[in-house]
Amino acid sequence: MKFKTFGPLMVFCRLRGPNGAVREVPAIIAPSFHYCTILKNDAARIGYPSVTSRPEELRTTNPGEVLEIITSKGIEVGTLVKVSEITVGPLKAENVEAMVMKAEFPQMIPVAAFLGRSFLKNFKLEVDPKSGTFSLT
Amino acid sequence: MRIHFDRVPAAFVRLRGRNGCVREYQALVSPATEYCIVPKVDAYRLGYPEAARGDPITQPVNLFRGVTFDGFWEGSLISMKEVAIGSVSTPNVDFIAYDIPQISGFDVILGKSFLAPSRLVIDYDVKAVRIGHEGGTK
Repeated sequence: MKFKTFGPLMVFCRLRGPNGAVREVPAIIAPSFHYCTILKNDAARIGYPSVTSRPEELRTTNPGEVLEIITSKGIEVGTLVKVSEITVGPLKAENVEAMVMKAEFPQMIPVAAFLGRSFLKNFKLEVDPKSGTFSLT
Repeated sequence: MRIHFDRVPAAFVRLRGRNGCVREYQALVSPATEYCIVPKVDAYRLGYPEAARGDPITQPVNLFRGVTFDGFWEGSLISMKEVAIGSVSTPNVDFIAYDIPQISGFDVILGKSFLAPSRLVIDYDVKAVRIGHEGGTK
């Protein structure tokens, strides 16, 4: 599937959680991220209410769910969840591991998700600067 | 050029600085990052001493403020004399001098200021990244 790019590799993706709820959010394709990254309120609405509690509290109750990742600013703590389905147009990936960030993204970032390797591993990403497009197949 | 990777798209890159010094780094290939990033100490060694100066009072004119998904950061904007991967090289690439955590295992991030003119393919199936640099000089 081909997308037009005006700078960042942006797409709209649909997140479906275990409660069947679907959220459509703008996302950036981020091949350097190990996991997809989603926001707390989106995670809560698609059926992961526990992630709205602080990861520090979660660590004591359920250590398996807490995730530490390395970012350009240091080590960030988040919560690991499995999104039942992530869809970008006709492309679909099931049981995608995603990290729910402890903090909200800065408002300057116009997206609500990052699609990392846990989603992209199912596809081939091709960026063509001549036509100003990128494709996921 | 086709480069195989293990976990995330990565490549060895050669940077030639303003003073003619050449160094090779393990770089993360990241089309989601707007600029390329190099550690401050390496920017200093490649001939950009102003990028490594951490003066808390006077702000340098090339100060760049960026935003990531986990907050804000700042570094100095410099123009790298030449960036090369294998036999493909590109002159005058914009870099930000900023210290990436060492635990990441990468020294340099190759962002869109280097990747933008090239056709880029990341194939997770065969774990390979292909960079066809149309704006290259060689």
